[in-house]
Amino acid sequence: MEDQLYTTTTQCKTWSFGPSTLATIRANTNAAGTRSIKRGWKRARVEASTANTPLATTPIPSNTPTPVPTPSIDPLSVPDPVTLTPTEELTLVNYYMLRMMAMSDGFGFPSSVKATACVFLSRFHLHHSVHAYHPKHLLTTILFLATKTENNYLSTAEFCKRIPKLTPEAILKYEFKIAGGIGWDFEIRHPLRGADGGIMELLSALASPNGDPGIQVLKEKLGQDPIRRVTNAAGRMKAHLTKEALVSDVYYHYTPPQIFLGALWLADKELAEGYIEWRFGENSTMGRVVKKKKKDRKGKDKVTEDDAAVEAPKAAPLAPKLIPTVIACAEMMQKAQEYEKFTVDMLKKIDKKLHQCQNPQKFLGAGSPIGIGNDVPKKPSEDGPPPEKKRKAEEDLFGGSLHGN
Amino acid sequence: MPSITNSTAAAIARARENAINRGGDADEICPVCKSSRYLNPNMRFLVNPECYHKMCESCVDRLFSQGPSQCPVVGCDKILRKQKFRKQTFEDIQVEREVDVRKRIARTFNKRQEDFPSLKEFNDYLEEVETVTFNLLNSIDVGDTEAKIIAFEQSNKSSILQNAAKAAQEQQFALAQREFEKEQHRKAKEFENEIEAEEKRDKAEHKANLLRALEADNPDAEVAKVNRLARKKSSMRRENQERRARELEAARNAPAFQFMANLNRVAEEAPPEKFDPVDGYDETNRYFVYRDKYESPWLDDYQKDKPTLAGGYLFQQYYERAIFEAFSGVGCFIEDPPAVDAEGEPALQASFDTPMIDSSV
Repeated sequence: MEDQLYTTTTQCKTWSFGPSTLATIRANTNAAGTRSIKRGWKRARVEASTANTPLATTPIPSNTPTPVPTPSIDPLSVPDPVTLTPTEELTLVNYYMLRMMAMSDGFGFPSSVKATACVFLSRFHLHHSVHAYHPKHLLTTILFLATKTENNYLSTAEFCKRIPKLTPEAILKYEFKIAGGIGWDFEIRHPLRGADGGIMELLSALASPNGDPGIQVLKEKLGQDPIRRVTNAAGRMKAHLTKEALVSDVYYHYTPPQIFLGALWLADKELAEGYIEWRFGENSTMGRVVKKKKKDRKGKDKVTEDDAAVEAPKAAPLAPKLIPTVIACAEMMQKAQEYEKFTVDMLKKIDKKLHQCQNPQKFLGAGSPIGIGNDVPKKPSEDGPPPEKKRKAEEDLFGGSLHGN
Repeated sequence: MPSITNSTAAAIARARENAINRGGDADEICPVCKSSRYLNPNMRFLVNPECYHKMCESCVDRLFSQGPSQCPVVGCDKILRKQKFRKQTFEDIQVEREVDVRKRIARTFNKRQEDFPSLKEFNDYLEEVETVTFNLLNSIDVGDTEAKIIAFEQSNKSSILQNAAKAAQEQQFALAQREFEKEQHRKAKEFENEIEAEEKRDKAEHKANLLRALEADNPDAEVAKVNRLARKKSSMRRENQERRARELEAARNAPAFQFMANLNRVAEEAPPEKFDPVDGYDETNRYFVYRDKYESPWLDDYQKDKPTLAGGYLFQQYYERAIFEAFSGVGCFIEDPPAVDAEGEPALQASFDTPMIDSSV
């Protein structure tokens, strides 16, 4: 039933992809984002060529590394900006994910909130290019949404107190968009609780004096103090689960138990291998030890043990298939560690590129910023029309007043 | 008497003027010859389903007796024939036209549900027919639609005829059935009357007998005899009535024709699949068995924590959930589906990729 229930979740149905599918989706999203940038620039170019006074409206930062347009420049001669590649997009998203983790830790939220927020961010940008939505504007909203999702609600007022210059409006502005962007699939199956469960079971099995042969083998493997070793590994595993597992793509490629085993593999390879062998190996009793033990306690003899063994479904052991999967998962998480090593320069370069893409007005002298985050408060006229229209529609619930009445 | 004629003429002119101005009573005046009902109370208005322009009977006679000719209404170039003129059934001319169109469509598209393998296909067919009807009614792609109808008519000639014959037959059966029911009803009523009359007669007879018995030498014995006789008679009568009522009932329930019972019976469908309330899920866990107690050092503090315990926190539930999640999905392996890859993806893209820039363009 366990696997069957997992297959009914949206995580399995909507948000699980093989590697090539995921790459294709990312490429498509990137292409869509690039298209939207191209369109925005085209529009800006048209506006710039129609505007006759580029002198007055061109605030040009002089130290930009991009071709500096002189006030008299022909807007048609400025080349289209170089858009980001899917890899660069991913790098940027992951950088902001790390930022969000730090933010969550600053709030002191439990790891489930942190993990949910990260998955939200990742999923949102899976289908929405950073060209269209700069992640820096979404972080607080996503974190706030995650607190609500994970039953750790903090009022917007409280939330804003902790971050300088943050207003409730700014949080709520994109909330609907994000909720829709993640397909309203709020429930995320994290490996965290499952990891607790696995460790719990392992510890209990190790602690009990008479276990099945599998656990005895594992005990011998773990050396002097198996309990201590497991506890230490669990600590490291938890760290992996709340960092590498979120930054990498493992949530798309593996199921929560597999991620948990992958993290355990990273933390203590020998332990993870032994654990898998014990639970899913050739002679695994699939945890039916307990049943026997209970019966033993009740005074029944060994015959029941055989019964239980017969009763257990003799399916092919899962371990041969599971171990390569777990190793691949662990490797993917290992690879994700390099995101932390990214230099600020590199990120700055990406962000600068994105900045150029999203702000044609700075380079052409006309046009409006692209992407939702770029509303400059000083120039309401530039970003004016859309909010104006929206507000009007909201205010006049039953349409505008009739003229002539 | 010129003065009278003058005043009459003026009155007629006034009435005509009024009728025209009032608008609502415009149907009191023939739009072609402008003669009003005021002058000719027997005036009948006719329409031709070619163009639905209304005119009075005399106009029709006058204009179309010589053979087909153009509609007299300005701007209408339809050629009308006299025998096609008929009385308008509905007040609203649009409704009249719709009914005509629907009649015509129903004659051609007379397929039945039995002709289709499933209800869904039948419904699709109905929708297509409705589209054709709508197009004709609202003059959308009339040429195409007509061509389509003719093509359908050509290719389905035999089945259309068959279905029409079938429908006629059914109508006959229905008529026969109705007749039969009426007859049964009449019989039942007759029977009822008969019973009533019989009862009345018996009562009167019993009374007479009683009187006669009282007159006799030995009244008590005679009265008892009469009463016994009456009881016997009434029970016999009741029995008789019940038997006849049963017969009538049986006759009423039996169909007029033997095949009527089979006529509209829907073919027996395969019995629906057995309903499974849990949709195939069971409670057996493949990978684990719950224990009562687990070693969980990180919960030890809470296990002694009074506020936690007083709040009703059940550690057992946490254990169960944690253990379940440790194995829920461990046997699912996510891979690239080669077939779905091509199809599933555009759908995903379509549903999610809606950058705001696009919408503001």
